[in-house]
Amino acid sequence: MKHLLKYEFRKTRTVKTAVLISTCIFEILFLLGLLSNAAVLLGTGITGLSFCATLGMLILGLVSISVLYRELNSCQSYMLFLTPNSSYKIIGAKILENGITLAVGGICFVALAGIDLFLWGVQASDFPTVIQLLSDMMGNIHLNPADIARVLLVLFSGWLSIITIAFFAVAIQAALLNGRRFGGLFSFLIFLAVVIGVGIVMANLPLGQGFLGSVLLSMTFPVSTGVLYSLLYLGITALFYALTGWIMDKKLSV
Amino acid sequence: MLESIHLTKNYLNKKALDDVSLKLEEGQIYALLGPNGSGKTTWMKTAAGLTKPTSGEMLYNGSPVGIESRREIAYMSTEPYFFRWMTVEDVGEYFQDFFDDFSSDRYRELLAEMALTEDMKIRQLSSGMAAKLKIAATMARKASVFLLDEPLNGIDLIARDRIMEAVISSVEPNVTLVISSHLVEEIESFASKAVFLRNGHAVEVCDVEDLRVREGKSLAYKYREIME
Repeated sequence: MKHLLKYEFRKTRTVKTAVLISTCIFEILFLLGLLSNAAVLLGTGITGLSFCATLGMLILGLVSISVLYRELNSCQSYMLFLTPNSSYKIIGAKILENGITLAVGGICFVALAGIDLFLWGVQASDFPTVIQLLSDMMGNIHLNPADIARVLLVLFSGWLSIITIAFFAVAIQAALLNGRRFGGLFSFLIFLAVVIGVGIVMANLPLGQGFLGSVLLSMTFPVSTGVLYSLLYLGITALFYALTGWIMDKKLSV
Repeated sequence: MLESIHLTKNYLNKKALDDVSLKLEEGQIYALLGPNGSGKTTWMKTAAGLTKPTSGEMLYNGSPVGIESRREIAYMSTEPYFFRWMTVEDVGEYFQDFFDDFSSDRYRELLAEMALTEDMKIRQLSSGMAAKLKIAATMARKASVFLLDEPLNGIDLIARDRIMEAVISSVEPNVTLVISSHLVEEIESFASKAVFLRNGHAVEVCDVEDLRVREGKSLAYKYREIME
């Protein structure tokens, strides 16, 4: 598994490097804005960092889906399936790589946000005002470490479940179409159908909400709600991991 | 050893293999011959575990091919398949990581024979160089079965003899080698057995030496006899 993970990380290192460099550039702009009291630089830095945190994670997820699509629909699949590894291990490594990237990326961006807030507060010599400014910007959301952790946990597990469903869609497409035209479109349609199906099932559960609803609910309800949603999403991830592994093991010819 | 039993593989609009039963003997060099679309690649890919049969079985040492058989069966496809972000060195590292029987020293020797260097990038290799790299990576393994699908495709005339020498010298006496090729005359010189496939059927299996001595026929002549 460690070797599979090693190469999964290598496959996406170019995009990760691009996200890292972009983050550094916007961080430098933010720091320059702080030092020089230039609102434009400060604003550009904050906006850019927010985009890197959100879009960056989104792009990394999309790239890993794209990598799997390319591998299963071309001869590059031989690099995976000629090795003495089960399909479950192969897809497990991809999900694990996504999870680790998401977790590490999330922690780094949260830590960076904390440091930047601290620096901003030091520069302004007025923490409460900085926090109030941010709260006003984000509406009536109270910034509380437990809230942040809960929301991030739901976001993390929810996004991981979406990535896994996308892997499942790609695997089905590869098993049925085997590299033929419109495979990408077919994958996307399967993905949409499954996500809608899962959403309908979730909506019929007690406290049932879709992905966005669960994120919002977890902010306002007790910790246990956030944990429950996280467990639900992790369960969805496990289910579609097992289904994807089965398809690749029994039905996929490359 | 490797054996297919009533192996059939259907694709959407084609039957690639139709009830093919073949049993390979240990220590033999098989020439797998047939026109385009006869099922050679499908048979090899099924043996390598890349393709799932529609019906029938592919067995290695009595068990269906799978994770364990991949440790002992080395397959080299016609098409290039290495990750394009890799270098030649990365390919060696990849094989070293996943295959216990891979020898980095032998890999470097074969690279030198093929005039390839480790700093070369996969995306910049010509088709001939990519073909040589595939051979180097595959033959650097100490597998029990080698399946080489048209290994001489894209290789220039001068290099072919050297490459086949490198292939044959890499193979130990008890190892089974299966080579598919359209260059029938070239593989006749070292093949001990020949398997003829046509339209997904195994038409005939013959001993190359017997063919020459008893029937007075070359492999190329036999090929034409069967296929025409």
